[in-house]
Amino acid sequence: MENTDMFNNATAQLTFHDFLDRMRHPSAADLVRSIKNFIGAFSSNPPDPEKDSQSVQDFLATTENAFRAHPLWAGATDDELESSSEGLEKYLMTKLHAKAFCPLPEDAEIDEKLTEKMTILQEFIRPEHLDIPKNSQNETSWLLAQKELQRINTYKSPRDKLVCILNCCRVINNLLVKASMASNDSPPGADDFLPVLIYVVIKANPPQLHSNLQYIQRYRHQGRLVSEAAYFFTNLVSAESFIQNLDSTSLSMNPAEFEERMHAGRQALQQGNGVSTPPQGDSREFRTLLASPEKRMMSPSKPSPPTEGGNPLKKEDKAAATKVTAAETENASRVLLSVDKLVAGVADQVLETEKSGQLRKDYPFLYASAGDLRVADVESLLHEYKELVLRYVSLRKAVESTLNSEKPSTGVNKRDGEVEGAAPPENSPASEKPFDYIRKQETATEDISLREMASGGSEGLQLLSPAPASSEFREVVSAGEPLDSEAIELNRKLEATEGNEPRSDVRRSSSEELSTSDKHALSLSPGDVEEVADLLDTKDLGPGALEQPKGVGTLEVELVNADDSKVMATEPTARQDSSQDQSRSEQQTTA
Amino acid sequence: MGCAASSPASRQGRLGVHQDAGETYDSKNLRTKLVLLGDSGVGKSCIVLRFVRGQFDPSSKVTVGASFLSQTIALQDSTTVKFEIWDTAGQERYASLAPLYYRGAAAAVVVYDITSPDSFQKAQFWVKELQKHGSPGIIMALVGNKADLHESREVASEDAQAYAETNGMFFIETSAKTADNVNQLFEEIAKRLPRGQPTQKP
Repeated sequence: MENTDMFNNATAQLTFHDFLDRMRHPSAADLVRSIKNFIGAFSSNPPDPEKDSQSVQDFLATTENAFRAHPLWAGATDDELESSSEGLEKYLMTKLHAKAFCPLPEDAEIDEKLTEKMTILQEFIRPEHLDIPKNSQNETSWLLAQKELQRINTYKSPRDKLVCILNCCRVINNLLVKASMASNDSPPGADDFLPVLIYVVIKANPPQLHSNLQYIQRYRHQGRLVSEAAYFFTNLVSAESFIQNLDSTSLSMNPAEFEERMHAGRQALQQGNGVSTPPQGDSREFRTLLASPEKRMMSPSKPSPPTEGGNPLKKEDKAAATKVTAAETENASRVLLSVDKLVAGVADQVLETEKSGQLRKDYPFLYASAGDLRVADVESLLHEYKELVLRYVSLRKAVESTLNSEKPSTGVNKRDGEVEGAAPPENSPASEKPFDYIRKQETATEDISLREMASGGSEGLQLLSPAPASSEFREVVSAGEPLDSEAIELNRKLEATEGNEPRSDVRRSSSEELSTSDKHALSLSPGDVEEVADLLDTKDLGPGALEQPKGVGTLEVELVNADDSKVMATEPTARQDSSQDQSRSEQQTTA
Repeated sequence: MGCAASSPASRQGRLGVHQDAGETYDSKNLRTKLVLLGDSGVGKSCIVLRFVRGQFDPSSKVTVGASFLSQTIALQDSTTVKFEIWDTAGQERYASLAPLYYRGAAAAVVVYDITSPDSFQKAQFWVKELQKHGSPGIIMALVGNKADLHESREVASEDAQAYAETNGMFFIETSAKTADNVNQLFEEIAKRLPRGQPTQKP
């Protein structure tokens, strides 16, 4: 379709399920064999990005042709064929992700440098530095675009990652259109779009940006990386390139000041990074964290060695962690440090409490190991986590505002005050964060429902806690037990309550899309389970689609209003999420 | 900017008119990547919007940005050409990023503002860039925009015409404001596209 629909093909209309369905058919045995052979061969060779990309592209093309000629697809429409091809790509790349994503140490290094640079830049960069005109500045709503980008590592398939990028661009585009209409300017072109995108990318500091872009470039079927998708993808590539090469002459700011700020930022980072990684496991890590929260804050975005690329948990952990950095560093760092100082001040007391066993009593999962956990615990664990997050955030807010009122110079309205390094309050990432986590949790729950069935336990349980606040658990929960059929049944029920809206159906978006976007889950019949076990983590986790500008527009209106009243627009969404969660847990109880 | 005359109503686009799915591209139905280059403020995006908007249903409520737009036109020889128009940021600080955008483009439209000699200089810079690094055989058009502002004209048509001829491009002056020559620009490009082979890299 012409103009504005990012995913104009029908691929998104049919779900991944359709592909799985067909592959389950006995007559697809030859295809399944060939796919498995390819995966086997691919995984056993040493990484060679150029060659690997080519062989995947070739294989996709060959297999798609085979679909066309196959009796299973006899009479299939182009849409159905396209959908199967998308399914194939997603299946294949989910399987190959470990090997194909960030295959070389050099890539990891570039990622790391880029992350570090953005971490420093986001501390002081202002829209004015990129000559973004006042009337198109909208930092609060840009947070939405940032979030879309930050989700990129939640997904393994190139298409899903690409959708994150497209959603981000679409949000920006819509905001610019709105702004231009309001001020009766000419419609926004690239002159307006690219600077905002660059700003948003820096502020979002998405995890492993370089690797993600390369991965999409290499493994998204070339025939589908065209047109509008290709355009916006190129914009992101050019934003990355701009940021990589960004120096004192790139911005509209005093070069000396730029150098000074970069230098100061680098030093701060080095101090943060200077400490070796805390010992893993049990409560030692917990103690380390408690003792030096700021260290954790400054270093989390360090990419892990590429060989670990296959572990989605690491990735998600990082994604979450980076998000924290992005959001937190945006917050007035001085205030933050004060909060951390306060925490450090009472560390001894906390350790006392811990020794006395009181902590264990209040927080029963604190030292739980995977073996202790039962499926039934998942819900309460999740609840406890959410409660903790909310309590933590409100506490922190309270402390912050107390500190702020003590030092009135930091917190005051900075919409125009670009000079201070302290981030302006209108960004208020802290108020955004809790709900964000909650939404993330929703995703995580889905992961469990499918993943656990597939792999039995530990992985899913680990996924439970993508937020750093509970990252101790990830170390703690190391080995799990396979889930029984009861668990599977339960999961199915949980999914049923969520409704099976095919999430990747990008055309059917509305303003509701945003709130439902995280909730899609494949519906499984009992017979499917084995199949899914084989297919492992290939569940349809397509990113939420903000596809139609209308939906985004509505949302944006909410945001604009919210901006004035200082109420975050995501709040209703979050509430909805938690109430849904509530009903879910009730469902479970009755079951 | 150059779209000063556009009323809010005429700014509106329409969603979902043409479906891509199932469309095939062959020698009769071309798909062409076209990149727009030129200083910021010369009205690149306005030209495209004017071109695309002509075919829009103004009653639709959905608006679009103009950084990427596509438009299909039918030629008299019964071929259709679908233009996928890539806008680029014209600010100096993004100049080094342009190759990412014009890579694989079959056509490039280099725009300047007839009231701004600087923008004409910049246009010449882009032409040289494209000659050096653009796709071989790329079709280039030199466009003097804001032709309606002839009273403030600072770049003579003859100069631009002469420059275009020496560099094997065709030259046209347009006004995004009055829509003058906008369609002609794209039709002219469409006519010059090579037939019988894909116009975009696979």
